[in-house]
Amino acid sequence: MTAMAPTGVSEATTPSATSPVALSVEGMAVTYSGVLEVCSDVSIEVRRGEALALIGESGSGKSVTVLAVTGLLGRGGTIVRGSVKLDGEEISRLSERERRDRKLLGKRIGMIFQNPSRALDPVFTIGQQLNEALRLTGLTGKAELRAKGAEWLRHVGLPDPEEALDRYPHQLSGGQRQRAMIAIALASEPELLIADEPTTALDVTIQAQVLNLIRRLQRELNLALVLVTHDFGVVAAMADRVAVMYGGQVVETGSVGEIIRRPRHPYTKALLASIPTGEAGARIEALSGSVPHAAAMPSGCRFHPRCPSAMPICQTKEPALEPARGGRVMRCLRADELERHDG
Amino acid sequence: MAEAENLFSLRDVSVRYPIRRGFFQRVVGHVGAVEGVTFDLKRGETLALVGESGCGKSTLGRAILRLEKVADGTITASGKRLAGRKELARKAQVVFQDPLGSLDPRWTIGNLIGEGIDVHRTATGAARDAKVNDLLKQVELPASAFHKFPHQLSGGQQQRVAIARALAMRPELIVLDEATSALDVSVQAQILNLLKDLQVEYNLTYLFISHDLTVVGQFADRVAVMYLGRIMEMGDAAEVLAAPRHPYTQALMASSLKVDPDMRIDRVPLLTGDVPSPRNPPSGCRFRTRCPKAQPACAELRHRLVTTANGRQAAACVANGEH
Repeated sequence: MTAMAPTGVSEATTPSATSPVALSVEGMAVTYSGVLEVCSDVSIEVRRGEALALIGESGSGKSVTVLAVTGLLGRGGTIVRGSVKLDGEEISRLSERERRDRKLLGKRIGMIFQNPSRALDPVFTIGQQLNEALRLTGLTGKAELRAKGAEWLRHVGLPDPEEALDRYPHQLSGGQRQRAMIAIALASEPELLIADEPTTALDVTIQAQVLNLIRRLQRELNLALVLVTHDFGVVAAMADRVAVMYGGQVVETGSVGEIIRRPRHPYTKALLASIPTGEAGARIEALSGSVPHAAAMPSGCRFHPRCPSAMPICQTKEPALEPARGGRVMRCLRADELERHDG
Repeated sequence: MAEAENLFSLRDVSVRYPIRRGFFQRVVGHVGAVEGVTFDLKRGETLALVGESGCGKSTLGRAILRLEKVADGTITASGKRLAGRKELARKAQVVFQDPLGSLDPRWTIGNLIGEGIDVHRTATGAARDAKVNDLLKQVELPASAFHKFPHQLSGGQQQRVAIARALAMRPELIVLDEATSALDVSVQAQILNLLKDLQVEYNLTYLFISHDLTVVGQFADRVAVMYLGRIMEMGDAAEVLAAPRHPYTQALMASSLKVDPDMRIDRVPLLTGDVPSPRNPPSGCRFRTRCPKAQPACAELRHRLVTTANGRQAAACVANGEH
């Protein structure tokens, strides 16, 4: 993302702007069974110590993007175009076996899911599942594993870490399970942490605790973080940079301040406008229609049927993701024109 | 609004779930899901129930719908106690969070919406189909949806079907139990706008159960904040959310994330710990185990609502100088 806008990204001066790139995805397309193209042109980049939020409505391809990176696309899903590089190494063409041999998932990439009850194995204790991750770091010996496991659980703020090691997932509360999953994802000391809607199922007070924990650990361990969410509140609280997705494509990227305060792409603008402001009785500017299905993508710009700024040319010409004025990277035929209107 | 009649009145309502143990599933105790709740639902208003999971907001909604048995207290509709579920169905309907879970996948949209009309025999034959088509129009669905099945519709459209189903009985109250929580923001905005339009058109009363305080601030007239089965604060939504009085409401407001890049997560004040189990609630003020202002006296505090200006109520709180 920053690679595509090497100059003039004024606000992107996050502390990590000069640190090495951990994950770089370029022009990635994903299909299922060779026909259904669920991701068409995804380009993102995350540096060490940086948090990138992937935001979009359901069906925008944000979850597929991270599944493709982790190699968890499942049956029939393949990356058909583009590249995925982890620390400069191409990983998009690797077979499942090669991925496992290189210890990609688990060791080098940690993953946190929305639903901890599905990510944790109900028949193993938290301690046993932690040990699996800890062994990837080369740690052996029962006592050492136990000590390190308890340390991790203390790190994520579980009460009575020693006791929690011997608990089964169902014996913990929702927030505690989420913490245990974060401990397991981080125990293998990954370089890249992917969090797919990590707090969507949690109450607001617990959400704040868990997000705070993820952010703190990300800073301490200098992790690259990819945060998949549909909630702009989470984006504002967590992200350094934001990539907005629509219909399987990245449509706009920028720093969190730019995207939220001065959205340029008509979709980003419409999405932000449809968030309730909390102002009593005010009507919400609803974006009409819904995200198109992968099997029936509109021609030209994929957003044109719902776009308030669409022109006839948008129906036929496909916009590319390009640097626009003001250091913006966006996918819109009218990018420069709309930017001028904004002053 | 001030002089509107009371549609539903709740007096000291408690709902308890039995705890069953052992081979014979003997009842060994009770969990108080809702305790001593009193309020009036006025015709035409939107009352929001907010709180974290397990606070009893959904249980309270279900109790009004008679889907839960009330252990103590009374719920009256326009001054009368209603005899049965069927009588109540004409007065109160519900829309749940997950539309696909509440729509039978083998039924067509036409039959799903017409079910209530068929059961109550309010119309038959062509008149019934005309009513269903009318309802489709009211929730802004195309007439072609009549012969479709739920899985052929998008999530937002399914929720519109659920709303049409509720409207079919011409109810006075609709309980919206997290009705927009599972939807994308753009679709949520569409549904909230639709609900507002329908409310004006039919003078509907909404009980809006939600965990999203921003949506509540925009959509509701009044709000009741619940914690572990009890109402902690209640009043005009804009007033309560602008200047929360009880420490729990304050904490809830502070924890909700704003769409503001200056409000980074490290600046959000954190509550410690989880919501205690309702099986074994703390004595005194129920929030005291997580409250940043807790004092020893909180353990002895008797729960009661203190009324201030404009009918605003907040649970007595030691930190607010109430004992």
